[in-house]
Amino acid sequence: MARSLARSIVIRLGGAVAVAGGLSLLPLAAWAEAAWPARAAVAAPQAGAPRPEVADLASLLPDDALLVAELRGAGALARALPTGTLRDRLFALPSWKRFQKTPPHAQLLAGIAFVELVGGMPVAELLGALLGDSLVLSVAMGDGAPQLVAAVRTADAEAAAHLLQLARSLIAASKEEPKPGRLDTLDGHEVAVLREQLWVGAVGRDLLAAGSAAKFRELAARAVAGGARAVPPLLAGARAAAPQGALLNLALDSKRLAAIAPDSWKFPLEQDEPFGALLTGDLMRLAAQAEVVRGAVVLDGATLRVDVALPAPSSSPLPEAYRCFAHANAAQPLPIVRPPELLLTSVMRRDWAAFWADHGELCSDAAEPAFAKMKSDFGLLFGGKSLADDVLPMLGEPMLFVLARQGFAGVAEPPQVRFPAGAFVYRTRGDAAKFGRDLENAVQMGIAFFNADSAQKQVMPFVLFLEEHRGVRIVGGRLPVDDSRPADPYRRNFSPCAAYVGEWAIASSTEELLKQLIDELSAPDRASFTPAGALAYLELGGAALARLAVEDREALITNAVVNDGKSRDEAELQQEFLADLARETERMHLATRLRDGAFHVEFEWALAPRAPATPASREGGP
Amino acid sequence: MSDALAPYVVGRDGPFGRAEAAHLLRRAGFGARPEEQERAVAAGLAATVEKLLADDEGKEAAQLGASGALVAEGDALAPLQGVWLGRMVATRAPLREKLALLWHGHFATSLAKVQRATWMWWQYELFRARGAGRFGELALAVARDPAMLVWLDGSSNEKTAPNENFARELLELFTLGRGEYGERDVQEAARCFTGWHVKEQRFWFNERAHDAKPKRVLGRDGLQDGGEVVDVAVAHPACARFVATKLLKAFVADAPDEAAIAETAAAFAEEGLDVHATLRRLFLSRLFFDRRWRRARIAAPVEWCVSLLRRTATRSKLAAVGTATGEMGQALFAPPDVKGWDGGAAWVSSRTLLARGRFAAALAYGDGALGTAVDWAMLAGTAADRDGATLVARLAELLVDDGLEPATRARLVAFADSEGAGGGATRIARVAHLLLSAPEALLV
Amino acid sequence: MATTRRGFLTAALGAAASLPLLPRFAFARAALAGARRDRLLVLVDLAGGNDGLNMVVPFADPLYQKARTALRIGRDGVLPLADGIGLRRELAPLHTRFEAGELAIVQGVGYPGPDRSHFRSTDIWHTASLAPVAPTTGWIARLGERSDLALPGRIPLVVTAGGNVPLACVGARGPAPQFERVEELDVAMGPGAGGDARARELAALAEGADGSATLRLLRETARATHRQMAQMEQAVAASRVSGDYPKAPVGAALRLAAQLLSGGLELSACYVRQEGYDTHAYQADLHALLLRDLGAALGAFWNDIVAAGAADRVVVMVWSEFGRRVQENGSKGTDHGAAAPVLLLGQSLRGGLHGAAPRLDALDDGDLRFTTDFRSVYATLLDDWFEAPSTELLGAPFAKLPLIRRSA
Repeated sequence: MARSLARSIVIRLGGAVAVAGGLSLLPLAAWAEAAWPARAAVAAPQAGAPRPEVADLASLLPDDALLVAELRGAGALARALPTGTLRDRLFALPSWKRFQKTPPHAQLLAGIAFVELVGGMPVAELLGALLGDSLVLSVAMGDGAPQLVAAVRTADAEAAAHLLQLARSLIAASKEEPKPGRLDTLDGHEVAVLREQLWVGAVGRDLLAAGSAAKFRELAARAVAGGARAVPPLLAGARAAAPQGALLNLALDSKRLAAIAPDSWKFPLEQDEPFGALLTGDLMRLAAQAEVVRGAVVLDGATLRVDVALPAPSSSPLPEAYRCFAHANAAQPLPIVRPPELLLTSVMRRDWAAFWADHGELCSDAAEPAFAKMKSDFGLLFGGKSLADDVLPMLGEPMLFVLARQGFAGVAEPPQVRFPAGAFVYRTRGDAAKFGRDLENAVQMGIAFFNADSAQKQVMPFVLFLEEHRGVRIVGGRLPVDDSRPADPYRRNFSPCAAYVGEWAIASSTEELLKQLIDELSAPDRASFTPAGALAYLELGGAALARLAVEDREALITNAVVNDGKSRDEAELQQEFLADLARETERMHLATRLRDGAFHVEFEWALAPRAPATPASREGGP
Repeated sequence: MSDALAPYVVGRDGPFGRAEAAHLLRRAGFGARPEEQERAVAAGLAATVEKLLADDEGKEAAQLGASGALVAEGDALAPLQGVWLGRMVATRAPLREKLALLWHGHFATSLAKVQRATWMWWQYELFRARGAGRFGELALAVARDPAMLVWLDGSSNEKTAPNENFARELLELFTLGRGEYGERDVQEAARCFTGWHVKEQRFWFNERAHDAKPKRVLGRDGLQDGGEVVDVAVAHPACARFVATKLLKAFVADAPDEAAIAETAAAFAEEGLDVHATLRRLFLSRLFFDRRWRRARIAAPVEWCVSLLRRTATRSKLAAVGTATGEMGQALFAPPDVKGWDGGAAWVSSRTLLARGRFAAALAYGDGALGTAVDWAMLAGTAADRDGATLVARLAELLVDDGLEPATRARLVAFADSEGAGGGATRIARVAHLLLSAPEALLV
Repeated sequence: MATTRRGFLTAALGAAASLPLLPRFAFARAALAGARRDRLLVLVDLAGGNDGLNMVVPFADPLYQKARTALRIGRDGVLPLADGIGLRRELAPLHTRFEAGELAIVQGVGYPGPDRSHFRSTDIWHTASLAPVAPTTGWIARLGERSDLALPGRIPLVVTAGGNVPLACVGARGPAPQFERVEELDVAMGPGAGGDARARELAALAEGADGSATLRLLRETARATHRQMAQMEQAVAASRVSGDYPKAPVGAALRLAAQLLSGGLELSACYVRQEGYDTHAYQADLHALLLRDLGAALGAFWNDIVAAGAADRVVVMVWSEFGRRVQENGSKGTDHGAAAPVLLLGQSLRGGLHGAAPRLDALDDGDLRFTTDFRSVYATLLDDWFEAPSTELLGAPFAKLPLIRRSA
């Protein structure tokens, strides 16, 4: 992946932010001393006529950029943080209240106060000023090293001057460092040089930054010239394709990157892990041959959306070996099931028989033993049938997988540690009834294996049962009710069973979930579908997850203490925070879709709607 | 009260200073930091011994103890080891855990055959609960423990087909030792234990399978039940000696001499084989503070790791530490066989020394796999940036209670002063690594 | 060999200080008496029970064809060894050695009263004892602990496989050193520069002779450990191995062995294990993969040994704790059996097929009857290869096979 490139961008950007935000590690005394000049001497705004500025900040970026990014309206968002509902929600979380009593919280407050002291204004204002009305950034490759160019359109010339003054204070305080900052003049502009890595200056109300003196000169020249230059085509394309009101627009010229630095844009077409190949084979292929990659982030009230798009290549569609990803069926509606107490529901378009047939091209040699083992294990379970010839061709696409929290209705003694229930749902091809019978046999075989293990451990075995639910035949195993033998405690979480409803075959770890799925799949008017064009879709349900996190609290905490080496307090805080996060989440989904002539990877996180903040909830925090 | 384990009179027989306090806290506990040693000196010998015998383990250890049953449900070895290790690191009553460890090695039972981690956990709780009381009661409780019954085939010992496994090990390894009983005793004792089975995860006396004829064991006639066999075995004079030797090996020296054994056995018998009472006498005795027995034990892997984790006050991935002690030769809940761990020189081999070396490095430099992150700068305190001698002195005091040979100390000081040591926290870590890798670091 | 002469020489050798590290296979042969210190045995254990019938295949035998319907290997699946008998094509690198006369195949190796339990049969092969209670030491460890091989500073036996140290390598003095990865040899652990300095310090800490007896024992063991580690590290650093080993664990294990050997480490034996042979179902693909990896690993290993000029001093023995039943089962696999072939590789061997092929028409409850006792193979290697008394080490005399070519 473009790891090294991304890393260097993050380092430079992070460095710039850290430096400007005053988060370096110099002694407090030196800082305080250096900070006073910042508060006292704010540079007067430029005398004379206001300089003409470029209409579109992004036109300052060079055309040969490999990566461009544009942040719009982030400054206003930052400034609104202290009064926004997001802050209220965070402070109302029980885990935040708990966090407030810990030493790291005090350190955080001290750090923020420090930043405000140095910056001369509240931290939200400072961040707002830094992010400005719009911020643009580009990275190009020159002399073998990434070259950064960035510009921020601040509120007015005074704000730009203030930030520059801040940079001057940093320089003054960094005298002790091996690479102290310095002031320089380039083409008549006063420039702060930080750690010989970043050249920062201002033209009018635009704050400019570049990774080298030469680049800064070019940038400043463009800014001074003003007028209407064209925006780099890479960004223009991203803007055109981006959703309305995107906060962040990103575009990467992957074709050129692959040409210049082949190692940073490499995707394994043959994967070592069969499961990985099955999940991401098409993504890898498309990413490897993509000419441009576009990303967008949208913040819509309490919903965050991230979208990464790989435009479909102008050349032919995916080769034959990739037919298992069923892109051809993208236009058809993709169903999804949503049982009550949903934790996770997912659906994937995959043609299993095609995957098996083509796995030589999708997987490397290292995956061969895994395939051999799958063939052997399934052969045992399906009693002599061949995986490739008898079982897989019966499985149509799509495949659904769900996890749901168990209600343990009708279970006399719910177990101490509660596992979620899980189920696979397949659409079958061919003779569904025959496959259904094969599935029943496989269930019986599987239960027999479990029971052999139970006999050795002298615990309760699963008892086979055959029942009907809404006219649908269920075969499975459940733990007997009145057996004096102990049940292996985890085992009370399971009652594996299977059934087939119409063309759907269901294999579930519990009876409860199986019946819920039968209900949903039997009633066609209850059917739900994923957004149009979806190829794979995964959704998390926050409410049930929060409830399960509370039920399994002790187990999760103990696991963190024993296996992850956390202290009890840390483990408790972590667990509570995760539970709170789940409770606040209405919906989270990840999907791959084919739409608008591009392959999209979409992520969405919607927070649950909340009542407006009451005065009481404003307690605590800065 | 006889002369056995005559008390150590502070002043007349010697001081109770830092060295003595450190020795006591190393043996009766898992070692202590300099501050704790100072407090012990100030409190005096008697008060310190009473505190060690007291039972309040503290909230954190109690929470870990409570989570043991939950973790055991997973039937995995490493997490279960992790819970016990965590309790040992967190506890304010280390003697309780040390005794549990002793009895775990004495009545050695392994998860490998028992297969149910829950039962292994219950057995450990049994050792904790009864390990400080009378040995006879402990032995009887162990004889009825489900894990032990499965481990030594008690649960399949029937009238029609007696199984001698438990009876033999009871006499040979748990109470008397070889040579104090005959084959006939084993056979008769086995018949007394017939019908001692497990049902619904509890001890169950299976009347139908029990051989109720009166039997003769160890010279006593008319014995019918296993409980009576335990009483007779425990009352045998060899038992006090046999168990006293184990106590000495755990708390005094790897190779105690005949005089020490005789003395301790006598005291043990006097106290009616009450462990706490005997340990009280032992920790207050001249024998205990005899200079010959200072640093006369090689620290068992679990003891060693727990002591270092406590001294350096670091978190760790406890399950991984459990695996590490296994590589050093002591896997909790999974002793190699019913003989347990021989201890002493048996801990020393190329493999186990390498494993200890790896642990020392992981502790010194911080290690992702073990999850340790020692704040050396804080531990070294004012000695952090000083010369080699000061730094080594501080680390030696903290980690090994000053137990370094002069030659070793000189080498470490020379290293600490050399270029190769680097500076700052790295230097402290490197010196600590070398210190912990020195052979002296294994002596407790 | 007179006892007195042997006794004198071993005493003299024993009194010598730790042997310096000798360059590649240039070590002197132990003069007149004592076991051959210049000879090496590499044990390759196919764990799980290898289907010997599908490795050395009697493809022309109609009984074989009848018993193996789904798992049958035909003429095109083998390379010819003799009339109607072929070696699996996946083991092609070994077949080239066969044609050069360097591969000896002993057919029908087993023991009387075959036990079909993995644990019991493994214990039997590892301890060379059929006693009801298995001894606690292994046959090759016993060899390694002989005073003429276990000289101070010499490492007689190394295990380069992961998992438990096998019983064969556990001696009276404890288990043999075991390494899975080269990184484990790095005693100087610890990040940053100056690792050598720290390694020196660690070694120096183990010097000195004062203090209690316990301290002396600790130091002695530490010194021995450091020496062993240093020797092995030096060997690995000086080694030159090719990169053709397959990615499987057996490839890594043999590669490490090749590094130690080609780097000049003076060993008597090395143990390597390949897991996965317990193929009760759908054997065809799994077995083929295992044999392919085995063949590739042994091929690469042998090339490295030849390049190091040691091919006449190394013998590789490939064996399994039992074979598998003649008749395949209903899941297209095979169940635990009895006799199976043992492969031996080395330039000092008399290549070709040895022993009598077990007859498919005279089965022992569905299993192949053994024609050669495995302890005969051990005795041959002990007496003729190592020149160590097999009767003493195995507890009884066994008929030997003409496997070793008598040369200089």
